[in-house]
Amino acid sequence: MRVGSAHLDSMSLRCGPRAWFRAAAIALLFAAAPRAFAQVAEDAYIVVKVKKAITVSGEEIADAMIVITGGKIEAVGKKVDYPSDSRVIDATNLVAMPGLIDPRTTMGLPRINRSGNQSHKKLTGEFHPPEDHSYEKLLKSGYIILGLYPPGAGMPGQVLVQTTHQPKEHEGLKDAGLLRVVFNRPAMDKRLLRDTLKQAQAEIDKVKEASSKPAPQPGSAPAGGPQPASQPTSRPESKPAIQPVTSKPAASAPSPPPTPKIRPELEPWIALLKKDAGFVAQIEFARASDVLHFAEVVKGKEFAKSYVFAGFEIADVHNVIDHELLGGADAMVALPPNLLNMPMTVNPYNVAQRFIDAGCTLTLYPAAETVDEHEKMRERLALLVRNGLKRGDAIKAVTLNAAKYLQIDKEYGSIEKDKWADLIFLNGDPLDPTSSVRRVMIHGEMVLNLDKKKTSKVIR
Amino acid sequence: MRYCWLILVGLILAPTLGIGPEMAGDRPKTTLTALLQPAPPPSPEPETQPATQPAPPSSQPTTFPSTQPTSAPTSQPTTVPASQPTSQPSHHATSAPASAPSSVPASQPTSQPAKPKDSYFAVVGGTVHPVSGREQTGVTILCKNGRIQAIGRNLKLPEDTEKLDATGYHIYPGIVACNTRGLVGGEPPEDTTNVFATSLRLANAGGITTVIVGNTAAKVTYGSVDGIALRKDLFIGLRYRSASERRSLRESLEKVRAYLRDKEDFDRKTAEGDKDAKAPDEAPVTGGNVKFLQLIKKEKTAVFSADSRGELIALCELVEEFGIRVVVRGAMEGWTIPDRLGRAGIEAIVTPRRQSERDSDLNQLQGGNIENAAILYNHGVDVAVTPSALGISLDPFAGRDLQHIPMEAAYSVRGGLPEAAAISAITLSAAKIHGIDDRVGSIEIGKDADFIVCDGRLLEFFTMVHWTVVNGRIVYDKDKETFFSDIRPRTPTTQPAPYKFWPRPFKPRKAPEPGKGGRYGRTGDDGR
Repeated sequence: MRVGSAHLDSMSLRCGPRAWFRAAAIALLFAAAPRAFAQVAEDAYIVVKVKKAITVSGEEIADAMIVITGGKIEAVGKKVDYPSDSRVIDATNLVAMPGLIDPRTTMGLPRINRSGNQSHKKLTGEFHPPEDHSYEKLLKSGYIILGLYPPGAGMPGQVLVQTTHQPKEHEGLKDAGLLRVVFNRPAMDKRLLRDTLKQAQAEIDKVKEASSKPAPQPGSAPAGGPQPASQPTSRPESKPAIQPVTSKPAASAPSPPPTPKIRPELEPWIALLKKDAGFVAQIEFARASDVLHFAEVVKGKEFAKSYVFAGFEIADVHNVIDHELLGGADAMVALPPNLLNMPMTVNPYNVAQRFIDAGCTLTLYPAAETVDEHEKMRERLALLVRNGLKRGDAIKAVTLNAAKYLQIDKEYGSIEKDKWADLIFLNGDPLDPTSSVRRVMIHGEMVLNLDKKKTSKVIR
Repeated sequence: MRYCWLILVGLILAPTLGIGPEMAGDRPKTTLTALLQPAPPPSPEPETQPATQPAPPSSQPTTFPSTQPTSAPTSQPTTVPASQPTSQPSHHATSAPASAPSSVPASQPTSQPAKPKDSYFAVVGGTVHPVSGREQTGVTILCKNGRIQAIGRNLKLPEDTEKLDATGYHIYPGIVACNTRGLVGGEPPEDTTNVFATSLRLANAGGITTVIVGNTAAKVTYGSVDGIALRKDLFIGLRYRSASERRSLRESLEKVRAYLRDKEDFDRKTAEGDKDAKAPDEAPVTGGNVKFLQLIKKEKTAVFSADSRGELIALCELVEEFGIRVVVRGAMEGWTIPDRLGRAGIEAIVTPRRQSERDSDLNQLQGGNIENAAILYNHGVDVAVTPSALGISLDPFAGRDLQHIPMEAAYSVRGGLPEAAAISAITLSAAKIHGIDDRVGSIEIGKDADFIVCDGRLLEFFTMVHWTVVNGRIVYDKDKETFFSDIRPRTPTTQPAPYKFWPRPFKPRKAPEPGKGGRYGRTGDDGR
């Protein structure tokens, strides 16, 4: 392999975004393969030369090269080798960073308010891409992935991870794994959670008893009990993520055939309590008091949790920041990027920084579910950075940590080897309010290019 | 020589204060020296007698709650630390508790690793007012896991005891608020309370540690969901105002009485072998009617709201006829028939500040009276005091809401109630009336560690609550909270103001020199 030039990719240069969409629509008509758009980039190496690459996972590299093959990042660095027939994209006036991820929104979901334990409900069938071009606008503002949470109270269902680029085709990246639990009315939610945990534990004990009591039947495979049986059917995390979620979730697997039927809404909780990889309960609090009530219910029960603090005030933060639930790096916390003021003063109070100081892994979601608020997100981050949040933490909060929150961090969230080349290119620093997103690359394919005629050129 | 006059006064007052030979067991002999010092942390000479336990349950039958289960005292280890160091050369709890070579009481489990670690908390050196007994100065209250374990001088404190130095402060049991709404949540309070609510904090600031909400007793534990629930189904709330209400209640009670009579008859007949005996109908005592059976059997208390003389007389007649246990809320005109209420054994929850316009057509005693509580108390009625408001409010008039229960009790003192009875009316009597006096209401061994540490006597109007302790945990510290920290702080503040811009410091402007300055005497560098 030698370092050399690549030939001109004329097609991607000539087509604007609108033309591309038209082409995609035609392609859909003839070959309705959901992954058709990725085919173009599969067979060739693409090299993007940028002014700066914000890798998020590592340090920021000036004058970097990003080598992409098969839609995935092959290498990133100041000087990396690539095949001579690679297509080289010159973006030396742009800053590349992984696409932004919104961990928590309902944009595009119908307002179906569920209540009670509906943990088995998924959003795949409910999601309809909005007609109002809001997803295109989100893509233009740099957001490539949204975590759509089911609206409602109690345990309204599972979070759907959705792409903003061609949402119709992708039907959701991932539908299982993140259970939404609303815990803002302790009277009802405490009872619901307590009952659910009790029932799930009872089911686990029942299965355990059933597997331990009778003598192992000859020839029966799951003789070791339900625990080994649950292992092989772990969540399809290692598989390529762009796949319509059709397979049943892992939770239904652990029950061996002779056991009585388990209620479907309990299956995710059984998987949670058994610590099956991939299932996480996402607890949403409204007040500091809710955290204590929640801690009382889950005392002695260990399962994967992440937290959303919606509508917290300073007093709430002050009251729970030292709580044992939040201590340690394990606690994953989602916040709106609001900068609050100390009472009766104009002194700012950086809630995000307080949570980071407490050892939490922080992710930020736009304060309102509007396109406008998504577009303003980088400004809000800049304001937080100006008031004490570290720059790296701020960028991480909307990329890598958001991917971690949605459990897609193995494939998204940073510029690293073997992650999808979902990048955005800005004409300045991402925290600079005057900068804007000029190009967006999805799986190695430039799906948006606002200044192709001015800046794109081929180097030989 | 500065306190020479105080010695004289002390000598004169000594007999009246009860500092005499009968108190020798309670106090060190040099009481006068102790009186001279506002705060005597170490008593001047080492005691050789057992440290005082002010309220051993058996020794005070008059004040100790009759309903206390025997489990409460016996669950406490008999090896109360106070009794241990008697033979040793004693050292004082305030002076060197940590340096003791073996300061762990024998009752502490040492060989049980599975058990969670015991938490100890001690209030050292204050003047303790256990409502059930005499007040004592310079004693230590040791709490273990939220319960009071020992009270006395010369206590050996375990090494990891959290200590609160209350030298010079007055310690009272936590106040029981008899009727509240909105402080702790609905039903059940341990699941619905917003434990970080400001009203909870203000309730703690007002000395409230226990509230009765609806039919439930709950603790006011700011910042913790542990130990909120105290007891449920305290009483049976009934109405006895209108004619139909009176008739239906009397009928229900009569049916229960008839049932019990028939049941007794039936039991006797079946015992004699009468096969034809017919069992009585169970309808009057089953389902929703169980409460009437509980009333007749005196298992539960009935709570009525009644203010007028006529209603109170009707309730007295009800009690005289059926022998049920009755608590009256309100009882505004109770002072007109105190003897009748006292004979009927009715307990009253009164609001001394209640007033009403007199009806000039009625030629009888009527209306509200500030002496109500005192008159009822003198006629043997158990009196609890509660303000007219049900919650903490920011209404235009301070002192009428739940935060100022001591003020309400002080009004009853103005009306003639003894001070001890007035304090009891917001602590122990209130707990007794609601049947929770085995847990709260006084500072006694075995009860919950709920008390307040004040900078003066509770009913004085300038007294502030400095610390509130609930379940052995400090839930309120006046100087650390924003509400009242600026009012007579404990120590001169050396810390800067918490916020840069608030409150604004007052900077007097210097007057301009004559002939200088602008039209308004402004020079441009006058500090603006």
